[in-house]
Amino acid sequence: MTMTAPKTALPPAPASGRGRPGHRSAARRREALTGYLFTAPTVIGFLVFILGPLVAALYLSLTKYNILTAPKFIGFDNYARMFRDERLATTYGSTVLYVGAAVVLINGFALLFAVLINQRLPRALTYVFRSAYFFPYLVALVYVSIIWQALFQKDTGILNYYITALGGERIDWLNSSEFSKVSVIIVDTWRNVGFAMLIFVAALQEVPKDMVEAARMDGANEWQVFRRIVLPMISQATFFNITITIIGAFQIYESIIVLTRGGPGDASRSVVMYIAEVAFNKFDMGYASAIAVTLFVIIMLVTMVQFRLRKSWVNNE
Amino acid sequence: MSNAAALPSRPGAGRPRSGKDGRRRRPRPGVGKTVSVVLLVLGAVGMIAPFLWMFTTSLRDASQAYDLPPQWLPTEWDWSNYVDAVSGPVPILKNMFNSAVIAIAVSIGMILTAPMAGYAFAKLDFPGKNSIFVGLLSSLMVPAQVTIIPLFLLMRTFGLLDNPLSLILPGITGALGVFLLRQFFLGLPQEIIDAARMDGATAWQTYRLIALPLAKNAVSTLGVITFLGSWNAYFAPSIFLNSTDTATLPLGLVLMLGPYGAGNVAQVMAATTIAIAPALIVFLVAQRWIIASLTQSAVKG
Amino acid sequence: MRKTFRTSIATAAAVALLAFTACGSATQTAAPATDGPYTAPAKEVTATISVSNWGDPGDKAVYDSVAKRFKEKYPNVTVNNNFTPITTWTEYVNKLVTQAAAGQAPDVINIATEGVELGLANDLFTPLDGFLENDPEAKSLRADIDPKLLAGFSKDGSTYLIPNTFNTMVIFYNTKMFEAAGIARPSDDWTWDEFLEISKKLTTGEGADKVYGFAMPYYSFGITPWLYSNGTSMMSEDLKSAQLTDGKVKETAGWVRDLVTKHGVSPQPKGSDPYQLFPAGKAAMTGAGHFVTGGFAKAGFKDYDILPWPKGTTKSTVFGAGAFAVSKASKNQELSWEFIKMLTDQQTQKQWADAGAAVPSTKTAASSPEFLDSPEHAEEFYNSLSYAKPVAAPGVYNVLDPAFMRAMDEIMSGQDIGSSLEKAQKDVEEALQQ
Repeated sequence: MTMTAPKTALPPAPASGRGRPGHRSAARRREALTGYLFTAPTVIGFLVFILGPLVAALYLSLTKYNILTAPKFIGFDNYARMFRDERLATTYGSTVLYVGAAVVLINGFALLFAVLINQRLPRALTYVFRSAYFFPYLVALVYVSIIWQALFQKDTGILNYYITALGGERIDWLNSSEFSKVSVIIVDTWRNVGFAMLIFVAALQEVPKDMVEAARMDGANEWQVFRRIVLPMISQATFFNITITIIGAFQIYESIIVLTRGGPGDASRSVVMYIAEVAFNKFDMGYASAIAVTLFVIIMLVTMVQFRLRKSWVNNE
Repeated sequence: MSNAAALPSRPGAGRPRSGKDGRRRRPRPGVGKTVSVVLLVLGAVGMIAPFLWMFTTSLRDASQAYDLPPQWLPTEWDWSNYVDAVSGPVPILKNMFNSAVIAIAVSIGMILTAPMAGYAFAKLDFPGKNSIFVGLLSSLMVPAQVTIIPLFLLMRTFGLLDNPLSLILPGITGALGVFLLRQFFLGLPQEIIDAARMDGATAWQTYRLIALPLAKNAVSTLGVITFLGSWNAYFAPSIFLNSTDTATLPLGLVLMLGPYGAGNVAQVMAATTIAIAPALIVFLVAQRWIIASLTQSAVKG
Repeated sequence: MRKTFRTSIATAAAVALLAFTACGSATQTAAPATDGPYTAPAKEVTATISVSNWGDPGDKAVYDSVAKRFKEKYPNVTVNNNFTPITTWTEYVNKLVTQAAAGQAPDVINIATEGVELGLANDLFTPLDGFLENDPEAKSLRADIDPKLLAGFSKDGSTYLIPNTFNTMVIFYNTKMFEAAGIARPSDDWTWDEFLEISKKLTTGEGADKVYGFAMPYYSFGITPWLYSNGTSMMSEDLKSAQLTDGKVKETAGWVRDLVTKHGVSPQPKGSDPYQLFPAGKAAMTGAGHFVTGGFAKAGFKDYDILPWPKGTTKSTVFGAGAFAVSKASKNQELSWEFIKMLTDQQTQKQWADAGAAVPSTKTAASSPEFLDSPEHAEEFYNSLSYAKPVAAPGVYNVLDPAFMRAMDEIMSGQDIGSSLEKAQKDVEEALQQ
């Protein structure tokens, strides 16, 4: 598939400021065509599998559609219905809790471990630590959840074994309204902390050592150095990590399926699970689309707010 | 044609940051460091312990799987759970094969399409380039849950439900790969491209014979990341696939776990060990690339 | 308990292991496929029949052998058996509707009680009355099947499906453990109180040696017998309205919860499979249908017998059945009928009985020595049908089942019974209105 571009009529390439000589316009047209051809598969994939479905979801959210009969346009009824839907309120509530916990716990632990690991430890040790923390991130969430649900068992799980051995009470990790959420958060934090940590480590290594040393010379204590020098220097990584953890936690799904199946009742159910249930169990496609659209809007807003904030508090060097 | 080997240091992926400067300065006081190491060891144990438990349990008779206090090291090397797991009612091997087919197909598709597009966005000039790129990038913001319903209807219309194509087709292109590869190609000196074009190479030849070989590491990383992403996927497969014979491995394992979450633990752990093996291999082989390319996209923004 | 992906599966799985036969209260009827005397298709006919099965792939052997016999009868007819592990009944019916719309409808549809209302609402099935009336071969089969089974597959005077197997929920008990504790087999009219007393006696030990009196079947098909034997149900008799907030439903939910939390005779149902605990001797009793016997046999567990479900206010239990229909869109209606007859005839019935996943629907097969061989009171599997009621499966069963189990989960975790059931009630009512 050699690209000998035919000289077919293309829209005239806009004059770029570089002011190339006229005789090269054919070459530029050829280059443009090449550009389109090179990007075509990706663009087509984007149109068919992302943009098209996105538009379709927006449309479906305005309809009543049960798959068996044609979609019926009902305006914003689905959106109005959400305000009366207690299950939606419950699932959104839990989801927001997951997001909050993810932001604080994942990034908190990640930063702690990153700072610890970033000291001058023996190379091999650093490597081992990095590997250990990062490995869970490479394993499917389903698989780690399968392991954890065994560890979380009330009577047979080793977590409770150690808790009782230390004199504590058995915890019903998976079947109590409170702890089912805690279990989900534990697994989510445990799995994602390594990735966030690596981001922080990479950022910490970019912090100029002489700046740190200079601050120390000036009599700053370690906390001041961290707070005044290091933290601002790694703000871009922090920004990235927070964005990623928020988006990830909003979509939390399979860990809950494996651990608690959303229960007891709806106690640990996430919005995404609820969407899947409404869409593929009740086949209420219109309403499910409407909920999905709200999730999209929230994620978009969060991302946009993040980018706004970034301007004000991220140190861009 | 210019000689690729004579290039200055390769930009982008494959270079773990070493942060050498300052390494050899005076060592910091020992106490803080000991505390750090202790904390780090505790954390690392917490990370690895569940996998260790999984593995030892997989080697034990089901009746002892829940014995307390827990055994952390294998007491016997009994592989029968593995045999039972793969010959049980859930066709784990078939599921694994399905997962592999999908993951391989998706990875191949991705390493064909994404570098091409990344190259075009980095090195070619065409009207609308920036808007198209921004459009593509913004697709990273669209959660899968929003598009899944229309995709389900689309697959249903084309009779692709319960068919691996329902996962392969949407998987072979993607903005993340384009972004990663564009980053790489942006760092590639323009002179190399220009020199090749001067020598009369077509755009395709320049890309295929000059640029792409230089991107070997970045492309491999993309391939590995894509493979793992597909291998680990649960959400879309759980919607599109609905028979045990077409199920991917994650679905098969959830099936094995059973409606009570009480499938035979030892067998489930054996199957999980098998399922995790590819991630472990990737981890051992390609850890550095992956870490480098993932962290770079974050730190370089 | 194998199969299936998403949540509400436990029930589906339990009932999914059913199968069946029979014919119906067919009478005058809406234009059947055949009028006047029925003549079977000629031996030379060439065609392909596709069968949509939701059953356990373990049933495959039975289907294959029926297909083989059918080939002898009709050498030029090919039978395609397609197995769909069930996820939800809505999904299964949707798939059938989609196939029909695309002109790829299967000829023969296998479905269970849970999916019948939905299938009827979507006009999937051909009335079989013409065949039942006019085909002399249908008569004997029909006479052999409990009218109760057939009634569940008839609507407005027409019969749509022929059952092949069914399951009722009964109590399984470990004979050795009863003996060791000096407990005699209770009478067939035993009550909830007697049940509780026995359960308490048999709950012993601590930690790893813990043995429970009763391992609870925790899915809606398994909880339903408690409702029925307390004289109530999740749905009204006509299946048109939900009654989850009925006082007796609440009372029953409390009873079920108390078995775990108050009396401690039953383990927390989540994370423990009763059908592992029971044969492992970790529970003295459990509730199940015939579908567990295959697994018990495979595990070499024989020390059990069965009892009717204990009586609250009434003696009752639940049954669900599997059945075959001729698809409305089928172009080979007569051949499909012939195939269904073979799927439900005595020879196949015997195979269902041997396969051990469910009770065959004909009295003859269910009273064969092989079927009655074990456990001692195996006849109760079939006899329980006389006091059993069909699973309450409205068209919105896919909403009812998970909603009820969500409420049960909440109740088991200590939340208020009334408010938990109210939420479920609201969910089902909303679905019924749609």
